[in-house]
Amino acid sequence: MQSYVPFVMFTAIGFAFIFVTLLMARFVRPSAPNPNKQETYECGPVPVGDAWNQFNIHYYLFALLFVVFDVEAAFLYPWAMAFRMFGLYAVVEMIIFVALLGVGLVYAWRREALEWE
Amino acid sequence: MNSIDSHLPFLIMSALTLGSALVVVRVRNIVHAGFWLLPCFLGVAGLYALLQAHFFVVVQVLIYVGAILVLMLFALMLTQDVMNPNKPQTNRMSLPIGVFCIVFAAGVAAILTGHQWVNSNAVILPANVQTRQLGQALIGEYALPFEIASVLLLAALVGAIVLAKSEKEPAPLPLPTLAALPDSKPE
Amino acid sequence: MIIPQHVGPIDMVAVIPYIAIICVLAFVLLLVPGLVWIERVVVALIQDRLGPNRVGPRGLLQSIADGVKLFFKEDILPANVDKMVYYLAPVLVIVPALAAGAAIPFSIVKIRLDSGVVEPIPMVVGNVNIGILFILALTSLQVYGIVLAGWASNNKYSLIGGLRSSAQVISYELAMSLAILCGVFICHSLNLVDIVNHQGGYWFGIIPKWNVFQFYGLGAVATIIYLIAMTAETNRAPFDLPEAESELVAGFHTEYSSMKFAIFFMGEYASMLVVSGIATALWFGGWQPLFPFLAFIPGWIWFIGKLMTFIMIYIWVRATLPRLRYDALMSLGWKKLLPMALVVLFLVALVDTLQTPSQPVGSHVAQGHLAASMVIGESQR
Repeated sequence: MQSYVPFVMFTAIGFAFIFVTLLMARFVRPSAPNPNKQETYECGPVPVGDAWNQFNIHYYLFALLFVVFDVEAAFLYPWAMAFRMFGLYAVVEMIIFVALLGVGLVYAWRREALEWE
Repeated sequence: MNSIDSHLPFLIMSALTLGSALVVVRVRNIVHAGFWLLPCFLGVAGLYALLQAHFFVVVQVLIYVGAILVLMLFALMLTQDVMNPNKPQTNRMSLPIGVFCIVFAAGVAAILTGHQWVNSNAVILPANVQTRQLGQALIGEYALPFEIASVLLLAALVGAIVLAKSEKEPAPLPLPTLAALPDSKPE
Repeated sequence: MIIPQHVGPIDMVAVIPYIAIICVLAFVLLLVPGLVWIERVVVALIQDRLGPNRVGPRGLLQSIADGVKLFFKEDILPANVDKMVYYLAPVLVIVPALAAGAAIPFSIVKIRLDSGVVEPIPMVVGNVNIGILFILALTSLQVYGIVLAGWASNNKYSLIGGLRSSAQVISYELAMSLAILCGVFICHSLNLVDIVNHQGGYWFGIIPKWNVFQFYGLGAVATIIYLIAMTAETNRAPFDLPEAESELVAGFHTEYSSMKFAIFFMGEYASMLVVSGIATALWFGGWQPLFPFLAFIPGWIWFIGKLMTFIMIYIWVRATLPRLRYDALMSLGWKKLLPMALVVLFLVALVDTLQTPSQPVGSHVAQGHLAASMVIGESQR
């Protein structure tokens, strides 16, 4: 438990720091809101609709690829800690593991899922 | 029985997890629901931390918060008209299902509190030793599940590509098969 | 330099964590104006301009003046934003960077305990046993600050900036974590203090045993992958597409003003410091001196020196390289760095396996030798 205390503390400091600076700034800064000022800034033209639209499915595809490879990396960390006790056997096992995902990467590449349009 | 004091971190983490999970279910804006999963997942990481399962804390944050939630947010942002939900959140089955859920939860709680739990005398190992032992198990005893996990990931990958790419493909063009593809085009 | 445990009434062993806390906080939060000044001066030098030279001697007070200006600026809250998320985003930019900074060891202090034993105590706020993974997890949280800011602003430019940035960050995080894995291989530890200690010593009494020089050049390749990925992770030039000012105004922080804008700025520099700190500890020997005869310089000076070198590289790259196009950026991440990192990882594992058995493989090991011993190893199984 002890080892997490500093991080909880630093998180709290981070929150407190932002809260205090924003609060202090509140006392000294001017506040003169007006509708023109508060409009969304899109280089001058009046914004059409809001920005919360559907967007490119490509982002989703990359996120999915990322999840798969991130899980792979998470598996490899404990493996990296232990593989010395197993020698070449462990390396071969890891090659199979990575190669299977490598096939996935090659497939994505061939299907042009890695191209950005 | 321990006093409430020693349970305080656990109670805080559980409250964080369950509270934000409740908000996820109840909030009307679906993207906000996605954002509320962030404290929920972090609360689960906190529970792992209380159990001294250090590697799982990291994996929970790295995979669930850092990867899967990003994926979910992207998926949610693909939804039509996310900010103006006008569909009802519940349907006519909500009442019976709610009753069922309450009964089910009460049953689980009854079983869990009625069971005679034995205190494990397992020694809590330092985080690096835990990680190493997990690695040993993955390489040695559980080598086959480890490799099958890879096949599962591969299946997920291929499935995702097929789904996303076929959706994008314009109708007149037939879906190119892997064999029929020309050599990778120059960029 | 060995410090006795009790200096006057102060117990040094108890005080060191607090010193570490103050150092990290000061470094991450207060040094930002200094870094901004350095960046502006260096970029100006490289681009043959004058740079800041009006406020204070050599423009030294320029970034402080900017800070004061931002503090007194009106905080414009655009009418259409998603308020809760809008306020949360700057917090999520700076908090993970701060927490990750807490796990980076920046020096080691030798303390003579009252019993007479000299004990090396690392200067680190939280010495987690799996520190490197912990930092990786925390840096993966930083993507939220940007996504949330882009989303909450309800501005098309912000949203595109935020989404671009998140896709970019996750793409390069893969290469980054695989490169870090190579470092973990070389040292066989996830604890950053152990990793740095492992890098002590010299070959032929002159070449430091840093991870970057390890494994016949494989360490260097992994280091380069890490350095590229870290630049992309922090959204710095030439990977600064999320805030590409010529196409997206200011990207995800277009709608942020005054102190909230300053916090985004601080977050950027804080995460630069954090990833540079990891680079220093993981590849360049942390507080270990470059040459044995320079060992009299204290470890923290070495650490900060190396850290500032990385900041200088950041600035140099920013001043030199043009911004990448987005498709080029994605293809660099997925088609070059990721396969390269996988291959390097595999080679590192192989070399390590062949090195560890009783017969030590000399530094002249050739590719043929490697292949031969691999075949032998296979037939033995």
